[in-house]
Amino acid sequence: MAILVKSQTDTKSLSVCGAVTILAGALLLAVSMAGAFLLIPLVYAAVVCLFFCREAFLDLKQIVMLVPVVMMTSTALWQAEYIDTSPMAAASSPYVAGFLVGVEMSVRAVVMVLTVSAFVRTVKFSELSYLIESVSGSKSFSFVFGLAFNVRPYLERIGRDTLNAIKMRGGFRLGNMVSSVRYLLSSTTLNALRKCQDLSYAAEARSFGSARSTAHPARRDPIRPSPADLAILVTTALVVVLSFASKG
Amino acid sequence: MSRIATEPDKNYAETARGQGGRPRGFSTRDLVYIAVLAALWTGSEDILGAQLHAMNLPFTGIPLAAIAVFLMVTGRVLVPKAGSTILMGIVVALLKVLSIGGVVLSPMIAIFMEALVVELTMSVGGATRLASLIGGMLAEMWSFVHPFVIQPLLFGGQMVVIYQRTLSAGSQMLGVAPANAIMIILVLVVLHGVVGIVAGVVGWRFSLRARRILSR
Repeated sequence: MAILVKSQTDTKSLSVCGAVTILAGALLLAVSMAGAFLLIPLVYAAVVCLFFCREAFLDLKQIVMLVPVVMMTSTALWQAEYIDTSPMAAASSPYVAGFLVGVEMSVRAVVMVLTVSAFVRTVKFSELSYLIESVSGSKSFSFVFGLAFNVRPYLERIGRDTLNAIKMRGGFRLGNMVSSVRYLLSSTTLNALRKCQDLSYAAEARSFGSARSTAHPARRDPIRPSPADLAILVTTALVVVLSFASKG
Repeated sequence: MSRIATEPDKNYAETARGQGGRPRGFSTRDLVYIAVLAALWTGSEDILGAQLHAMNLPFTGIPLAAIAVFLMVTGRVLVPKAGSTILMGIVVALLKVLSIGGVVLSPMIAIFMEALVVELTMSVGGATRLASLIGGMLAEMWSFVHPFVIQPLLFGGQMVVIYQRTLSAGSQMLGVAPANAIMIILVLVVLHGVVGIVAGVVGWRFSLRARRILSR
């Protein structure tokens, strides 16, 4: 359960309000801006990540392979008939237009990955679970998430033990691959489900589900917008308004 | 002490109502089932997914989605209440954030969408075999369609033009008519669907047997 009260990063200055503002603002700009105007959300996302969540830049590695492919494909395959639909309509050659479209697409992807990553890394899990519980009306998300997080190593050990046991009995060869997979899946899942009874008794023995509920960690320590949140809110509003105004 | 002795039903009702007044219907056992199956799903995504990704094999989504369908259908039959599958999906998607790879956007959305598809299907059709196989089929098909949906979302509408151009250029290069290329894609979609049907039915049959074994 420690994961619920400990943030992934040291970005304590932002609360969930600021994180949601960043996410909404940057995604709105990334979707609605085109051409050179896309530099606005890019600069905005980069500056925000630089100040509040530098780890977000590490998550760009998931599109490192994709971006060159998109750039090369768009440069090679963009045709003359699409030049008018290109944001850089001034480009006369389809290759130049295709390259510019590739750049635009890549910038949009970079903005989206940066902001989603910044959101997930900035917001505390206690606040996130409180947000989800508030939206869904259910009070059980924190319990399920915490239990799943804690029980995972145990289940992985069950899976590995079952895998080794089947292997030692001659399983996972070409002739018996399907039956081995079936035994592995059914045995691991059934063992895990058997554990559920003990887990639910243990939870109820600790008063989970009792009539008097304890407050959610985020509610015990209410979310109050910090000065950084307010600064982000004002800055985001200004950037969005100026972007739409300059775009016309 | 007397409170506990005199109000056991109220305690259960509070849990079942989610302590929020709205009837959610999840008992502690239900929540534990959801958590444990979500943990299994996350384990399969992390261990098997990482291995398959490292091997750079095509269609690595097929076994991963099949296991996900198996676990979702099992969970839905054991906890036949609205919201159980989507709760599982949200937990797995967020647990994925804590895995070694960092915040990986595309698998998170894929996991959530697969859970949403099974949730909708089994909410409409109930925890029946037919709903299980339809839900499994749609979730497995989603794993194939997912990149073609997520990439235009991520990169913008121009991605569709790139797909069209890639399809026609690839057809010309291989000497295949574009209609046949579309046919190949349809065959792949159907193949995914068949695997999903099998996973759904296997999950449904397994859950019935598991329920029998667990009630002993």
